[in-house]
Amino acid sequence: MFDPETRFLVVDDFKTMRSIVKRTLEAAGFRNHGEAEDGAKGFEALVQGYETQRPYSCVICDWNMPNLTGLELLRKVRADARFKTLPFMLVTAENEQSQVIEAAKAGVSNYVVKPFSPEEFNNKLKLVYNKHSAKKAA
Amino acid sequence: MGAPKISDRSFFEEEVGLSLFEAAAKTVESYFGMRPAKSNPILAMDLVVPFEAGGLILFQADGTAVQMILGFEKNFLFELYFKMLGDRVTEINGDLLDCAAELTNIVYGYAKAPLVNKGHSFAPGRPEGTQDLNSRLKNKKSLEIPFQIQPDKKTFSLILSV
Ligand SMILES: [Mg+2]
Repeated sequence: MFDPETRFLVVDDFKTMRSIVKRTLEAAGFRNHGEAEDGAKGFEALVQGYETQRPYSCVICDWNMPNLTGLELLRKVRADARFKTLPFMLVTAENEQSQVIEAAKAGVSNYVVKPFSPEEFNNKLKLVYNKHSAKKAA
Repeated sequence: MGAPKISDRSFFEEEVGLSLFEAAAKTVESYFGMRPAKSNPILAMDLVVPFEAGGLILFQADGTAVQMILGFEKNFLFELYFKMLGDRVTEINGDLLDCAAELTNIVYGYAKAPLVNKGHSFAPGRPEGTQDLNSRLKNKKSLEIPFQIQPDKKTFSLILSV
């Protein structure tokens, strides 16, 4: 699983869901996190973290947001050499086949559907970690 | 034969309606660990509801504009907020309305996915939290499904308007 010092970026346009995600992370032992309220601000936070040597090591991101959606942020992240391999989990209220396919094509690490239990969230996070550590080992 | 249209009465009541009501029940159940009981539906113009707060989303379903409201008795929403976030609120504030909006978002998304997978098309607006539900029900035909959580009989309703 991720190291307890891992820095998470939580991106969601609703404070409620950012709080739920942060609370779930904290309960799992992850206290190092930042937040942003849309995809554009999320990208700024990633760049700022990178430039100030406090990089984020995992993004937990909502799908439907103004400015830049979760999918658009994911594409932007994957197209940027600095963040190309960053673990990226989408949190979505929607579980449509077409969206799942789009997200997979864009390089999402995994996704969790709202409403989720802490167990479901942590299981998905483990899968995200496993996927990226397997890639690193390869 | 394309996807049925929302303007067809049977589709509105059976497919979109059922999916949304099921999503509302499931969402609340996921936080309370208890399935809410459904009361008899109410169909009315200019519906008036007793709720102090709620979440609202406007969306297009197969080209028809629909408004969905999740209306809450405030004590019920306080309890739901506690179950979701672990913090107590005792008054209607921005955080509580944000929570009502996000709940509406979750219910909408949960209901929509299986319908889209069956070929229906949906386009959502942005959910919002509001204390002013009745003015949003003026000049509209609405279908309300009241729910109760036993044993406290705390109530909320899902209201669809066209
Ligand atoms: Mg959102």
